[in-house]
Amino acid sequence: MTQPVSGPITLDELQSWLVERVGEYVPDLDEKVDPNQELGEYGLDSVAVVAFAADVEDWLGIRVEPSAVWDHPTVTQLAKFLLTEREQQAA
Amino acid sequence: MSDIHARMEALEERLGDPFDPANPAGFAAVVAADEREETPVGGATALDEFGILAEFVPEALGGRLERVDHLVELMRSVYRRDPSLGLGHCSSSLLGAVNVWTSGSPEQRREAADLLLAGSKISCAFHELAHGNDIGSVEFAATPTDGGLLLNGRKESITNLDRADAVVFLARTDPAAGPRACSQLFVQVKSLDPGRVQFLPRFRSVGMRGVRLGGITVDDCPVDTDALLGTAGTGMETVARAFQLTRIALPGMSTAMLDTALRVTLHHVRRRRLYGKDVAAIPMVRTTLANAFADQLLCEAFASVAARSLHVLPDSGSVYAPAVKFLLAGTLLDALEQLSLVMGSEFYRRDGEHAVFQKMARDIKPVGFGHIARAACLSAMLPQLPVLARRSWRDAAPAPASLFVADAELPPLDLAGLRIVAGGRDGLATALNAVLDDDVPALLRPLIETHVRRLATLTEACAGLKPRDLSIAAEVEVRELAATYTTVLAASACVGVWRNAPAGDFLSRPEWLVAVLTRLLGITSGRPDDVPSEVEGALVEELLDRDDRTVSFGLSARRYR
Repeated sequence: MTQPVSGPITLDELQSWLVERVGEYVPDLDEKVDPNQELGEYGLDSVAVVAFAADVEDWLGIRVEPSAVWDHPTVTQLAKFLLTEREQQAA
Repeated sequence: MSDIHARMEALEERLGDPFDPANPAGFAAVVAADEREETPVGGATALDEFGILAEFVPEALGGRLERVDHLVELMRSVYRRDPSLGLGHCSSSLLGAVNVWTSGSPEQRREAADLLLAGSKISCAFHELAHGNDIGSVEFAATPTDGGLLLNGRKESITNLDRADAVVFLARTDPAAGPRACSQLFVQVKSLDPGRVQFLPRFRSVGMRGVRLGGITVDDCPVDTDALLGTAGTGMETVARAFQLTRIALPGMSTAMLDTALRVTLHHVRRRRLYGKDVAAIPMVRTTLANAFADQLLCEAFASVAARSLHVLPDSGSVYAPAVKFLLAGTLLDALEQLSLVMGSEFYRRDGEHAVFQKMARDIKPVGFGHIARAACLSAMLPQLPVLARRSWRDAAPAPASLFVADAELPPLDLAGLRIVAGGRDGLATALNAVLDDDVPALLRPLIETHVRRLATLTEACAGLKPRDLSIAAEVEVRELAATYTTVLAASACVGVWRNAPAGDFLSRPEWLVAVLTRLLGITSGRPDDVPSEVEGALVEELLDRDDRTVSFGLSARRYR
């Protein structure tokens, strides 16, 4: 399990964490996850998305529905969304 | 007609004594209509006069739907007489409408409410034979064109499709796969170009023979864009919220079939002597009766608690709904099977005073696959198990009493506010862990401890599961974890009902809880242990007393006609 982050986080940090996590969910991947490619194309199916969203929740300490991944299907898009979401949910 | 208890009595009164052969809404008329594969006219008329479809319309829209638990209990009066009337004439419209209540615009909600309040049916056209429960793979397409959508494709085995005034379609709006590829459309049938629509011949069925199953093919049929429920691409998300209600409510209503099967069985065995003995006194018969009564109580306890959870614990419906559907369907199917053994050759008869038994035994079958199949329920729960295990199952905290009390005040139902995943929140499981902190009678303590240990074992098994263990290709042993989880939830529901029951009530006594907790341990195997002998007498005594007084065998023990 990843330790939850408490302080501020940059878009870059968020993005590289997501890239790393996706890699763990898709064990047979022989290339680095492209932050601009849709996660579904890596085989992150609806089952994995449920667990993935929960991992993101644990790490960022915010509520993340699987639909966030549906609506922001690349690492770049998701990272931007989560950053905004974290600021809003903290406010 | 605002008070639910007055409405329940009024409906019972209107539908009359089901055993009276002259009653046009009674078993004789119901069986005769079933033989003709028709809706029984007497029952349908009585329900129309009662305004049954208003029960499915939220109060805010002028209807009488306020609480899911009340809706379920009221509808048992219909299902206990004729499940095909209950589904075909009543609750099938909820399958379509609940999606409108969840995601429709104010105009769409008004339109759907007006139709139901006027007695019109709404059909729910999601199913395609080729795709079964994999509804995200539907091929029926709504393709965006200039200023509208063009419908193409085929829907099959849809209740009331050729009798409904409006239809909710699940359609592909994006040819690509993925969770945003499907949308729902709410369409009035009269708005469809009749030259581009063809209704298919009726699909015929083993049970629920009065229910008209239809199909449709459409060819380049235009509809307005404002037929969309919510925005394009939200079809599956709406399903994930809206069907939490129906996957609890419809199995909940179906417990009334066991009530009737049990009542008919009692009718038979209490008047029969074999080998010089009253049949009802033969130990094997008594045990089967006690088992069925316990199963009735556990199904209704779980359904009631889950129905109220949509109000009280709205985060968790995405797991409670498939859990209820899975456990109730299996339990009810097995219970009917066991009763049919006691009925002997009477079970095989399509005529005579007990003919309604074989109808119930057939009508119960769709509860195992209709709306969503038991296997698909396990698949729906699986991906959430590791998060539930990590975040909730090790905790102990009492759940709100309103979850377990029949008429406790509830927060309003907010369908749009239901969550598509529970996010690991599970107040019902954590309530089970808190039970042993309080005084528990010695008769019960070991059984409750067994269920608490079962949850602990389940937690260890689930916490480390990886996403690849949980897909549709999950191993049988992993799928059994989800099945076991449903028994933990049901155990917690039953314990909660017992603890919160009014003093002096049958439900406040430990015997029934001993019976249901024992049954639950082996229930997913299909051959649960018999009700323990030390409580069997108390259950049979209560059952016979309820039969004498013509009250329900379920949780409410309310007066039946």
